[in-house]
Amino acid sequence: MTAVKQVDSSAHYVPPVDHLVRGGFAWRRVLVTSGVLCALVVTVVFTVMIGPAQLSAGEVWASILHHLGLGGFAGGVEISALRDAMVWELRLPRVLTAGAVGAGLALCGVIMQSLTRNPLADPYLLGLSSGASLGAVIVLLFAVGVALPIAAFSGALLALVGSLTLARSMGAVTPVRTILAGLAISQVCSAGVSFIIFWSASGDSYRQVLAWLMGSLGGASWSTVAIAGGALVVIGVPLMVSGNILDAFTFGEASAHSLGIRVEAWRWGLLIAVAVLTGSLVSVSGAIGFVGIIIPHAVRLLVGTGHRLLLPLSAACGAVFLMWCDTLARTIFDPREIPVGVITAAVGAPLFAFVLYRTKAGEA
Amino acid sequence: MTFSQLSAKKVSWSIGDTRIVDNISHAFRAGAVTGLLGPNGSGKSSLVRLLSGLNSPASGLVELDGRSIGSLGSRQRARTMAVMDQHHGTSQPTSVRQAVALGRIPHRSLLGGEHVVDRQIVGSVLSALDLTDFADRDLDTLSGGERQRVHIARALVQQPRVLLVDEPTNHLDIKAQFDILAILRQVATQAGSDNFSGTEAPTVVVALHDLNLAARYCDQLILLCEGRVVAAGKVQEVLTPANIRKVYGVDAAVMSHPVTGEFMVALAPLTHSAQTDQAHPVSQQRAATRGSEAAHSASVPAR
Repeated sequence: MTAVKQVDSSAHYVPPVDHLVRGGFAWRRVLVTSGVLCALVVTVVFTVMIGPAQLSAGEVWASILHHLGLGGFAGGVEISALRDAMVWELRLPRVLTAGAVGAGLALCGVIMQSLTRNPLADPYLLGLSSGASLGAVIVLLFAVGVALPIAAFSGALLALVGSLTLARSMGAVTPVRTILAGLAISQVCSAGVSFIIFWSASGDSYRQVLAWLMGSLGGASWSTVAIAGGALVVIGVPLMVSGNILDAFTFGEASAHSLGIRVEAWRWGLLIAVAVLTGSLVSVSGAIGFVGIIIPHAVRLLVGTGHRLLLPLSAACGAVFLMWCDTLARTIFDPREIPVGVITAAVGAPLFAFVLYRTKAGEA
Repeated sequence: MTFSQLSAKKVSWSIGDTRIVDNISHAFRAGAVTGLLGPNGSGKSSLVRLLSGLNSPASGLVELDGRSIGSLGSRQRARTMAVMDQHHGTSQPTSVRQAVALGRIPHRSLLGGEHVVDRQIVGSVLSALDLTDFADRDLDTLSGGERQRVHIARALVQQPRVLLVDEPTNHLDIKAQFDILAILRQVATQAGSDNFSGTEAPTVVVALHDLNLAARYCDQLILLCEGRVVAAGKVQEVLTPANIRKVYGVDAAVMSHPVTGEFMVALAPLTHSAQTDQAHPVSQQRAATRGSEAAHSASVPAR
């Protein structure tokens, strides 16, 4: 090609043939989206049903509708007070907490990966999980008179402030500096956690601390639903509309600037929003790994890299994924429960390898 | 001659105590390709970043349509001016069409999606740049020249009236270098085509290393050295042996291309005596032996 082909300005646009192919891709998106939404509803009902005492779907619906004041729609299914309490007081709060945490982590993962342009970035990148762990361990082992979630949240925020201050002190806050600063803070906090555990943990308290460090939803209740769900609604939902902004960051910050994005304002705003959301989630569940890394990659494989769809779909898939992982965590070794972080790692690592393999194959 | 929307007025910029761009003034011409030349560290890229509003000048003013670029809203600026910078890798698998469509972002609202008109503009720019066949391929599978065309396409779907390009030919093979600059030239001279921009002739500014590419494809040149304008104007006025020797420290001869007859530059390292001279301030004696041209070089004002 030696020169640009003249495009006759009077000729009207004729869609190239490959538009039809793209049309197929659009259908695939619709299909995936509706599939994921169905999975979300089905997952809530099924994971509530599963447990040491099996419940029927009818009972689950009856209990939920009854508590929402819609008992008239329950279709006459009766449910005993005990089984109703099982649904409403135990399983539903736990499933909903898992859903909110999973959705939030996946959402934060997408944003961190896109802001740092690093496929291995996760929501804990700024040392948030280590900071939260430090706060939690101090409370668990020293019986400090502070509620565990508050201590964990404060730890996460202190780590955030530490990382960003460190990143700033190195000059302009570039993705690489952000990652390095987060790593440094994370290591410092981990050292603190290890030291405290080594110094003072024993027996049961050790197991309790370990469960928290690996991430567990064993402490779920309606108040954890309120914290995680509230953070998801207040921070997560507004974040879902940042799709165009994140798209603009595809080729880095200079090109985002060229596309009319106020780079500084958005980067700081998004980083802080992600950190506060992650901190809230970690405060109720501990640092559950892998959700924030693999879900974004898996969803990209399904619907491509455009963030307008990627953000909400990742949130929905993260919710489904963690609800099932937590169901496994509390049932496979029944009556013993294992930390959900063990399950997400066990399921997540092979899935991650598969996603990498598929991504590679797609590029070749 | 039309002077364009873009001008620099006594623009300076420093990193720490080091002046990177020193008091540069220039009104860029519309409907023309202006080449920025100069050795590494002469301030080409920094000037592009200042013109694009990515960095703010320490003193002086960059004006777009008569308004300071800092006072324009980000989106308003992005609808007028597109920038193609040197670094644009991505960690995510991105199709050609997707990469090009990013250029429509300044034209839609925060929540807005792709409209039919966006797809039409993307489609027509893809076909104008011979990219239609690649549209659904991953960017990673393209050659360097093809990828560079994609980035130009992204800038063009912004429908800018000013296009800033920083060293677009780096690492490209020779034919791809010609292709890229031919496209930029075409953009500048395609005033009024709804394919590229509005009714006004676009202004294209491109930072380059290769003097012969610059000579062949640019209408105007600005030769930079240590952040200052050494010479600015038409190709043959700027690319004189004296200017080239002064700025790049190499010997140069200008001539007609033996086949095409076009203006061209032949370059060679300074001879040994010249190298020793370069270590010291240019000696008057040497200037004298080089004749009138070298004498002229010594007297070229520093702007």
